[in-house]
Amino acid sequence: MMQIRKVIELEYYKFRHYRPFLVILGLYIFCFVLSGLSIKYLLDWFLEEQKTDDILKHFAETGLPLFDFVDIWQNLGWLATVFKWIPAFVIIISVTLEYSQKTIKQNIIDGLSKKEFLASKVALVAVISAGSALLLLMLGLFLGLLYSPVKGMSYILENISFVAAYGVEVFVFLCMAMFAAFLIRKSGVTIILFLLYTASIEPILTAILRYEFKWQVWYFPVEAINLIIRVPFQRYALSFVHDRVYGQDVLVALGWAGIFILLSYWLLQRRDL
Amino acid sequence: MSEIILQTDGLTKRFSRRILAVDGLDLAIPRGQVFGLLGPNGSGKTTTLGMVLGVVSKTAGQYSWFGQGEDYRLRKQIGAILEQPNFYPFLSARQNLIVHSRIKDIRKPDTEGLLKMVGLSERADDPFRTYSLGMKQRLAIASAMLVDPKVLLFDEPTNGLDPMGIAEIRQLILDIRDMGKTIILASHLLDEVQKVCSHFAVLRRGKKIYSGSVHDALHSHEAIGVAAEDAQRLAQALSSCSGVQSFEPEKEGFRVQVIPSWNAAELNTYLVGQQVAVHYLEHKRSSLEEKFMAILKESDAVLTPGQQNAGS
Repeated sequence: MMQIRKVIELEYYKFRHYRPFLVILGLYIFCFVLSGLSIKYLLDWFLEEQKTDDILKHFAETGLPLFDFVDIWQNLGWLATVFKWIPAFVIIISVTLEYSQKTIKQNIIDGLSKKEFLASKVALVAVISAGSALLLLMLGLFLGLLYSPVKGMSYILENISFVAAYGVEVFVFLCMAMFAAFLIRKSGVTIILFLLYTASIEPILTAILRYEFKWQVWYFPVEAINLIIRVPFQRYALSFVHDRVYGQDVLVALGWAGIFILLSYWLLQRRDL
Repeated sequence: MSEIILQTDGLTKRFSRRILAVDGLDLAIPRGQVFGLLGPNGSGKTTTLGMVLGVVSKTAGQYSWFGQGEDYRLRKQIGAILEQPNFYPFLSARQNLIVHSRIKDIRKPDTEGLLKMVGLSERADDPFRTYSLGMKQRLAIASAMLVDPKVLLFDEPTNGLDPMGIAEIRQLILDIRDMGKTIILASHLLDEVQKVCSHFAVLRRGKKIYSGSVHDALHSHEAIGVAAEDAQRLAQALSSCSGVQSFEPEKEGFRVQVIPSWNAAELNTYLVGQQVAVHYLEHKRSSLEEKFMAILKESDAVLTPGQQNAGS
């Protein structure tokens, strides 16, 4: 019987005094909140500059209804996805540090099973993901209550599933980062390769496969993660938009999370420490 | 028969086709022993400890802790340090001990008492990365003692320390021994094993080539140095003596191995009877080093080149 409390506590005791960790997480929260608060001003400025544009001039008068309830969750959730790399680095550091300091070896010697060690890292991933979703929820409530013309409870709660979807998106992404760290074990190399793959190699590859070879690409991991919250902004220019969370998108992404966790477990079991 | 703390049967680790690090190792370490695992670098000591501690997968054979098998939870009752002390560099001694006690499921660890025992109380709140190697090693011993363990494992505990550090660590290990703990100590330092251990096994190329008590090993190799003006006559007398097992010439006279019931006095009486006037007679206390060399020499004679394997 695995004790969830034990593995969470373990991560807490390990990293509560690790300054780089706290700084990066603080930076994440700071960027998240700051961008949320400043986005309206940026957009207002942008629309002011675009007054002559045929399509956009309409919005210059009314302002983009970015923070209106119902829409706000998808809008903010999609914008927040750029920040998910920051907690990914936290996860990568937390795993690779255990290898560079050989503390993973000492943990196992002291009587932790490899399964429990992995569980403690997954717990860290889960806690950061839940925290991210919570952050989005609070930011959304704050901005919505500030700017939204409609404020009824039913409007607030409609499409609030995007908050949970954001938590899932971060969770799967961090599981991927964790797997990369278990695979490569060196922090610098892991961060560079992870960045390269998620921000450039896979997006370019899937773009080529999709447009040149007409492939379906929803099953690629980064693509699957990005599909959970679809781009919301066509709604302001086009009539059709995916404006809800689709169950199959979440399932595909969670499937990847499972694969990353299992692969990490396989690596841990297979290798000597 | 007292309780067996650690038993291994045919424990084997093959790293690759060429490298057989541990080769069918059988050990049985009863409670209360201070057991030395002795061998040159690369003889498979660390690999053996790695296997019984679950960080190196075994190729064949099995081990059993406390007669209960290989379950990882049994390791919570073991205090072990493999190679270098590994701690979180940004955490203080106290915080590191808390992490260890959480792993070992100890709710109320006696961190203060342990830090005092290893002399780290004053630096207990400084980060681990600021410690000297000796302090790191002492913290490792404190963390090994956290659970009030049934058995402690040390792997080259004095490696890389200065003479003062070596003396401190040895004294700590002796103190722990005097608490009646079972200790398993891997070392390539014969002197260390001789000073600390009650029993030992010698590993070479992953094979156990000797095991027994330190006392017996030392006793069996004690010798008597003897010299006389007339060396030829002395040699004749020695070769016809029933109490002499063997003798060999040394720088000054001969080094004589006598039967167990004899000592220098009996040898002298015999030589006087043979009218050999001895001007030098010394009971040579042997060191484990000599015994070790003798064991290695024997094993070299036994091992044919085809059986030789490199360990790591």
